[in-house]
Amino acid sequence: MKHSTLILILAIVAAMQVSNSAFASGTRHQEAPIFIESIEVVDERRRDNWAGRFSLGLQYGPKFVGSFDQSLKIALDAKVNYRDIFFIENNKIGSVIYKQRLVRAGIISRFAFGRPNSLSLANLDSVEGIGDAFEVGVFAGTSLYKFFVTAEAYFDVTGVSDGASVELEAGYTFELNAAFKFTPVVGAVWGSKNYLQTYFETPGDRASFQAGAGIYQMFGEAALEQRLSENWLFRGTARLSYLVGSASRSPIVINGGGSRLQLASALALVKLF
Amino acid sequence: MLALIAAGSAAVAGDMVPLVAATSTSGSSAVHSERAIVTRDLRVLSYNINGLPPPVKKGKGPHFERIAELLRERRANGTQPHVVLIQEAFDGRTKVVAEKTGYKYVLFGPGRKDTSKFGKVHWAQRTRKPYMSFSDPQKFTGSGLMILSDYPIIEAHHKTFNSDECAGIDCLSNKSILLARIKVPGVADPVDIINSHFNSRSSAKAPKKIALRVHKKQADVLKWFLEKTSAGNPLILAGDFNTKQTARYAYFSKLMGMRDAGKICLNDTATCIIAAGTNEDMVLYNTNDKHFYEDGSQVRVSPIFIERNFDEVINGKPLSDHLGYEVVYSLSFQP
Repeated sequence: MKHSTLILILAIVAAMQVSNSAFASGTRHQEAPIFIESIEVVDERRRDNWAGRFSLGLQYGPKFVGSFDQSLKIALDAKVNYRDIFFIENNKIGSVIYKQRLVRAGIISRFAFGRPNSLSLANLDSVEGIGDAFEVGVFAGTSLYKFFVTAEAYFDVTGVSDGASVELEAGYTFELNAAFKFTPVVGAVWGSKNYLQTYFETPGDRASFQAGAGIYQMFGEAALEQRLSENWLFRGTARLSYLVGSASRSPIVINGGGSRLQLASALALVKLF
Repeated sequence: MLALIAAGSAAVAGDMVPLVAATSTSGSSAVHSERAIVTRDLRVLSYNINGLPPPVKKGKGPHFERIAELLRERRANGTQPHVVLIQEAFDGRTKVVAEKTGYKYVLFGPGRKDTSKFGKVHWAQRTRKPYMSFSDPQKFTGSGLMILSDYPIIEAHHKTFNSDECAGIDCLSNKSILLARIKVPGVADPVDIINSHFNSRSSAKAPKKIALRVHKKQADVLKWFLEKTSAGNPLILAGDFNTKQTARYAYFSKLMGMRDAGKICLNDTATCIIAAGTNEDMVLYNTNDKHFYEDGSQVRVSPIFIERNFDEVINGKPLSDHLGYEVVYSLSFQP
C-alpha cells in the first residue's frame, strides 16, 4: 500500500471520528432524558385505625312504616369502623371486601326490628305483630367529589319474611361555609313479594289486597351538619317518604291509622373520633 | 434581550471577582484579607402551559409542540432556561415539552394515583354510611407539575396536598409541591428549586371563603415542606401560586418570608434588568405566577433579569392562558 493511500485512509477515518464526535455533541441533548423519581415527604398526620362517632339526640317519626302515628324518642347512635374495612353502625355490621378508588363493596347484615302485637289500626280487623328479623346482604357505594351513591340489598334469613329489600340513595354535599354542610339525598326502597306481603298485608284483608314486588318507598332527605369543633358537630335530618306501588294500596296505609306520607326527623349532637 | 444577558453572563460566569473584606479586631489594628466571589447565572422559567386534559381543552396539541419548539430554538441559540418549571401539564401531549426540548433531567410531579392523604376534615360524608370512607381521595389527574433541568437533579421530594387542602374542582387533580435539588456546575452548594400550583380562586367553582381557607392551608403545608427539606441551600420557589388576590398574596408572602424576585427587580433596576414588554403589572399585580428566592448558607441569590415571555399567538389563540415567567438569578459565593 502506498504511503499516500494510507494517509488518505487515515484522513478519512479521522474525519469520520471528528464527524461522529461533532454529531454526538450536537445531538447530546436530543437523547432521551433521565427521569428522576421524587420521594414523598411524609407528614405527621397519622390516621387512627379506629374511627367513628357517637351521637345523642331526639328522633321524631312514624311508629312503623305506613303508620300515621308519630313518636318522639331519645335516639342514641353509634358507629365504629376499623381501617375503613370493618364497621358496626347501630343495628348494622359489615365489612368492605372490594375497595377501589371510586368504589366500595362488601357484605352487610342488620337486625330489622319488627312490629309489636299491641299496635292496632282503626278500621282494621287485625294487624299482626312481626318479629325482629336478621338480614344479610351486600352493599356497594361510589363517591365522586361530593356526590355519592349507595345501594344495600338485604335478605331475611330468620324466616320472618323470607323476603328481600334493596335501598338505593344518592346525594350531594354543599359546603355553605367552612363549618356548615347541607346534603340533600334522594332514594328509593324496593321490596320482594314476600317482604311486602309480610309488612303490608293484613290477615283480614288478604282476599282484597295482595302485595307484589316493586319499589314501595321513595324519599327525599335534607341533612344538615354544623361543625362545632374538629370533633364535635350538630346534625339534623328531615326525611319525607312517600309509599308507592302495592304498599300505597295496603290496608295498613289507606285505613284510618295509616299514611302514605311519612315524615321522620332527628336532631343530635355528634362526637367524632 | 436574553441573548444579551447570555453573552453578559457568559463573561461573568466563573469570573473571580476580587473583594476586599475588612475584619476589625479589638484595638485599632485591622486585618485585611483579599477574598474572591464566584458568580454563576441560573436561568429559571416558570410556565403554566394550560394543559388541561381533554375534553376540557381541545386542540392544544399544536400549542405544546410550539412551546417545545421555542425551547429548542432557545437551546440552539444558547439562551435556553437552565431549569423549567411547568404547571398544568395534565394532558399527555404536554410530554413533548419534557422529552423533546433537550433537557437532560426530567422530574414529573406526583401522578393521579400517588399518595394523597385523607384530611382530618374531609368533604366526603363522614357521618353517613360507614363504608363510604375513602382513605384515598379520588383524583382524576396528577399534579400537572414538571421540572426540567440541564443540570443534574441530585435529589427530589414531593408532597401532595391532603384532601382537606383543596377546594372545588381543583380537588380533582393531585395538587402538590415538587422540589428538585440541582447541582449547578461551579456552585458550592446545590440549589433547591420548588415548583407548585396552588388552589385557584374563581376557576375552582368553590365558595370564595373556602377557596381562601384552603389556599392558606396550602401555604402552611408549603412552609412545613420548606422546613422539612431545608438543607441550607439557596432556594428558588416558583410556580402558579394563585396569589393575585391581595389577601392570598399577603398571607403567602408573609408566611414564606422570601423575597419576591419581581418586586426586588423592579425596585433595583441598577442590578436587575426588566425585559422590554415586561411591566410591573405583569410581575406583581395582574399575575398568579411568581418567583421567590432565598439565600443559602453559603450562596447568595439575586435576580438580575426578569421577563414575561411565551406570548406568541397561534391561530388567534395564545400558547397558554399564562405567560412564561423567566428570571435569571445570579448565584454568588466565596469558594
